[in-house]
Amino acid sequence: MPTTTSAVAPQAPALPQRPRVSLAGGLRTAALVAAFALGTMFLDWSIVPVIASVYALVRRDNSVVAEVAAAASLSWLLLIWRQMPNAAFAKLLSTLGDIFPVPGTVLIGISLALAAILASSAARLSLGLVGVRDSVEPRENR
Amino acid sequence: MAAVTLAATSYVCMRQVGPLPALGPFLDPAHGIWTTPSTASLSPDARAAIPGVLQDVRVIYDDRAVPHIFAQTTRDAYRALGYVVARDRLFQLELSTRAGGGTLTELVGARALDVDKGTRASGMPASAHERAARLDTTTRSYLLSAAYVDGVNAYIDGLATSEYPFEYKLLGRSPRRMAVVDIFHLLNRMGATLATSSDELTHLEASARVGQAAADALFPAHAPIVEPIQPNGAIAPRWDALTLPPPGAADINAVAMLRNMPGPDLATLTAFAPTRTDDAIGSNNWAVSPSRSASRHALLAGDPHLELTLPSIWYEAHLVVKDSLDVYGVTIPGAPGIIIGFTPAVAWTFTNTGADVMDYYVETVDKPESPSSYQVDGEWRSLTLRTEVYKDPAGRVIGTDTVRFTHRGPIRMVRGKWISTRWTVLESTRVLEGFDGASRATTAGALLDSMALLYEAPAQNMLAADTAGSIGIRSTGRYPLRPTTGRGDLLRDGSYSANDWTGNWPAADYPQSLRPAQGYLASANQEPFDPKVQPRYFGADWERPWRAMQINKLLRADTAVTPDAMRRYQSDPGSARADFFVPVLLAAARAAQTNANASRAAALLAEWDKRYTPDNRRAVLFEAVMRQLSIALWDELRTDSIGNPIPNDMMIATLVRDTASLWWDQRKTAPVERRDALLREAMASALDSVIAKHGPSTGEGWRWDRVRFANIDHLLRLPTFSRREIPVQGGPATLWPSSGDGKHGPSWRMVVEMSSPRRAWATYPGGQSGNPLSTRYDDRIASWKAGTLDTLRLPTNADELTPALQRARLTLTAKGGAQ
Repeated sequence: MPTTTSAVAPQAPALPQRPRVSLAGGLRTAALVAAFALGTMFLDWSIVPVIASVYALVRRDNSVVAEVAAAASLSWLLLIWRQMPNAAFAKLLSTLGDIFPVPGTVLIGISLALAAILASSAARLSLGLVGVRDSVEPRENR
Repeated sequence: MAAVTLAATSYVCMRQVGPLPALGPFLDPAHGIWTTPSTASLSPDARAAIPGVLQDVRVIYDDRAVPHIFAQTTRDAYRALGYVVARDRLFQLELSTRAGGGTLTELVGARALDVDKGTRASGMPASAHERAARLDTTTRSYLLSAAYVDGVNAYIDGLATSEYPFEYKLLGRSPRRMAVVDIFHLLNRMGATLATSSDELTHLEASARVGQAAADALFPAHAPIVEPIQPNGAIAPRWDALTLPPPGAADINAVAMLRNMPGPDLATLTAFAPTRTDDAIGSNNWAVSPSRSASRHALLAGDPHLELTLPSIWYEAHLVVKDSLDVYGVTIPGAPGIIIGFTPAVAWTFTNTGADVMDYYVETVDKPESPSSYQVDGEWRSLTLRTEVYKDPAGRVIGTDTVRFTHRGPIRMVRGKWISTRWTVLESTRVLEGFDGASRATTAGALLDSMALLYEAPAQNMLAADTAGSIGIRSTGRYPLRPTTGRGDLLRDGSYSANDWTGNWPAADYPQSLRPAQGYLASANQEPFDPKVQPRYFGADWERPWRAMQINKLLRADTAVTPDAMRRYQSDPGSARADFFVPVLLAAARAAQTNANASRAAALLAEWDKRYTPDNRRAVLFEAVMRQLSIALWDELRTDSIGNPIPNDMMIATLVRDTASLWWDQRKTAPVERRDALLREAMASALDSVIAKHGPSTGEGWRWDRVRFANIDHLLRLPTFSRREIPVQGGPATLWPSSGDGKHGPSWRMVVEMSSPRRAWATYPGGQSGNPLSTRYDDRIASWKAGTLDTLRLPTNADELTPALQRARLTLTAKGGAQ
C-alpha cells in the first residue's frame, strides 16, 4: 500500500538547497555572454560596464553581480579562445612573457579578471544607485 | 566601494601607467593584443578597395613572401607598392619617417625629446617641409610619390583596431596617415646615416694636440694606399710615400677654439646622425664584364652595409606594368620606388661615397645668448627663426625651442661659438626622380647618366650592369666646389661670403668608369679617385681600403667568375689588413728575443691562416694586438677620455715603413722606442689581455664565433623581438665586416646575372613581415648567416608564377568595387 514518505518516515536532515538552474535563467545568461562578446567585438572593452549596468538595472537583483562577472569573463575567454588555434598564439604568449614580468598565461587571467571587475563593479554601482542593497536573505524568500 | 573599484579599474583601462599601456585597449580580446596572431599570416586571398586605382591590380606573394605587383599603370603599381609595404611594415614606416621628422615624441612620448631636438636642430625637418612645399605637383615623380602615399593611407584607413601592428598595441597608439613630406623625412634620415662628416672637428682636435702639420698628415685628404674606384690602370694597390711629421706643439688657435670656451662639445653638431662603428656601415659592390664571366654575361653583386634591425631596413618587391615597367629589388618602407634592384635590361646597386658634402662655418652674431642676426661681409643679415614645438602622443606640448638658420643652413651654439652647417642633404630635391629614372633605364650608361642628372644626396657609388654586357660605375651626388684651398675639412669663417661654396662639380668630373678595359669594377667606400689622376679635394679621412683590396684581389684572380663565386666573395673571410700586418708583426718578433710573451704571441699568430671563419682561434689575438697597437702608438693624441682623434689603421700601415718615427715612442716610458719594440709590446700585452678575457689559447673561448656576433635589434630594442649573438664569418675590414657592437653589417646581398632571361639571387637579415609573430619576421636570417642566397622568382606576368610558388594573393580595386 502506498504511503507518503512525509507522513511516516523519520525527518531527514536538511540538505543545502542547490540553486535551481532554469532554462530561462540559462538562456538569459547565455544572452548576457553573447551581449558582452558582441559588444566588445563591435565596440570595445568599455561596453562591458555599460552592459553590466543595464542588466543590473533591469534585474534589480543582487545576484546579478556574480552573474555579470562570470558572463563577462566567459565572453572574453571565448573571444581569446578564437585566436588559440592560430600557431602564432603560443608565440604571442611567450613573447608577452618576455616583455612583461608575468607569464603570458597570467595575462589571459588578468584579462578575464579585468572583464569581471569592470562588469561586477558597474553592476554593483548601478544597484546601489537604485537602492538595491546587499541582503543575507536567501533568494527563494524574496 | 563599487564606485571606487569601477573608477580605479577604468583609470588603468584608459590611462597609461608607467611603462604599461592602457590595459583596456591592450587586453581587449577583440581589438587588443590577443588579436595579433590573426595578422601574423597574410590572408590567402584578399581584396581591398583603394581610392584612385584605375584598373584592378593583382598582387601575388611568392614562396619568399615577396609581393609581385601586376598593374595596368605605373601610378597604380606605386599605389599598390605603398599598400603592400604598409601591410607588412607599417610601424617601421611610421617610426623611420618620424625619426627624420623629429616627431618621435608624438609616438613614444617624452623619452624621445632629446632625440627629436637634435633632429630639429639639424635642420632636416624644416628642410623637408620646405622642399615638399616647393614640389611641382604635375611632375611624374610627384604623381608617383603621391600614389605611393595614397596606397599607404588606403591601407591605414582600412585597418581595424584589431589589425594594428603589435608595436602600436604595446605603445597604445594608432597609426598616423602618411604625407608626401614624410618621404623627405625618410631620405633625410638616410642622409644622416650616410653623408654626415666631422672631419673638421677631428682635424681641430688633432691640431690642438700635436700641431697643424702633424694633424694634416694624420688626416690627409688622400688615402696613402691607392686602390681607387675609378680604375687607374694599376694591377695592384699603390702605396704612396707619406712622411708623418713628428708630434709637434699644440696649435694654439685650435686649443683656444676647443678649450677656452664652455658649452656643448663639437660632437653635438653631428649627434643627430646614427653612430657609425668601424667599417661595418660601409658597403661593397662589384661587377664583371662578360669577358671575365663564365657565362659570358655581365654579373653584378650588391652588398650594402647598414644598421641591422628587425624588421630589416629593406623590403623586397617586384613591380610590373606591361610594356613600361618591370623592376625588382628592395625598397625602404616610406620610399616610393625600388632603391637597389634590376630590370630585364639593367641592374644597379650602391655603396656610400663618403665624399665631404657637409661644411661648418664659425659665424659672427649680434647677441651671443640669443642671436637674431649674423654678419656677412660687414653687413648684418637676419637669421631665420623657426619655433619648434614638441608634443606628446596626446597632443600636449612638452617642449619648445628655436632653431635658427643662416643662408647656409642651421646654426647652433657649440663651445660658445655659433656654428652654421651647410649640407647637400638639406638641399636635394630630385632624388625621387632619380630612382624613377633608374627603373626605366635600359642600359648601364643611361642609368648612370640619369642618376648623375637627378640624384643629389647622399652621394653614392652607383654600379650598373646591363644585358648588352656593359658595366659602369659613377660616384653620383652633388659635390660642392669650395674657394681657396678647396678643402672642406677645415672650419671656415662665416663672416665672409668668399668662404661659401662656389658651385658644384660637373658630372663629367665625377669618379666614373664605363666598360673598363680591366673587365671588372668594385667599390668599398675607399677614395674613389687616384689622387695622381684627380688631386682636387673630394673628401678626407677615407674608409680604409682593405675591403677594396680584398675584392680586387679576388676578381683579379678569377677570369671566369660565376654567380656562385660572386656569392662566396660576399662572405669571404680573407683580410687584406691581416695579410699586411701579420708578417710585419712576425718580423718584429723575430728581430729581438727580449720579450717571451711577445714571442709566444708571435708563435700563435704564425699559426693563423688570416681568415675570420667562425671556428678560427687566432683572429681574436690579432684584433687584440691591433687594439693595443693603436692605444700605444697614438698616445700623443689621447689626452682625455672622449673626443680623441685617432687615425685609422691605414695610417699605421703607412707608418710601418718609418721604423724610427717618433710616433713609435711612448711618452710614458723613458727610453725612446722604435717600431719593433712597440709592436712587440703590443703583442705581449694583447696576449695577456686575451688570456685574461678568453682563457688559454687552446680553449673554446678563443673561437671567433665566441667573440664577434651580429646583434640584430628590434626597432624598439625589445629583447624578445631582437635576434642577438648570431655568429658571422668576418671581422674588421673583411668583406663581411663585423663591428664591435655587432649592430651593423650586410643589409642586403644580391647577385644578378644579366642574361636573358635574367637570373638573380639575394637575401637579407630579417624577413618580409614586420610582425614579430610571423614566420616571415626573421626567416631569412639563417641563409644570411650561412652566406647563401635565395633564388629570386621573376615572373613577367601574373599567370607565370605557378600555384606551388604562390603563398597569398591580393587584389586592389577602385574604391567602391571592394567585396
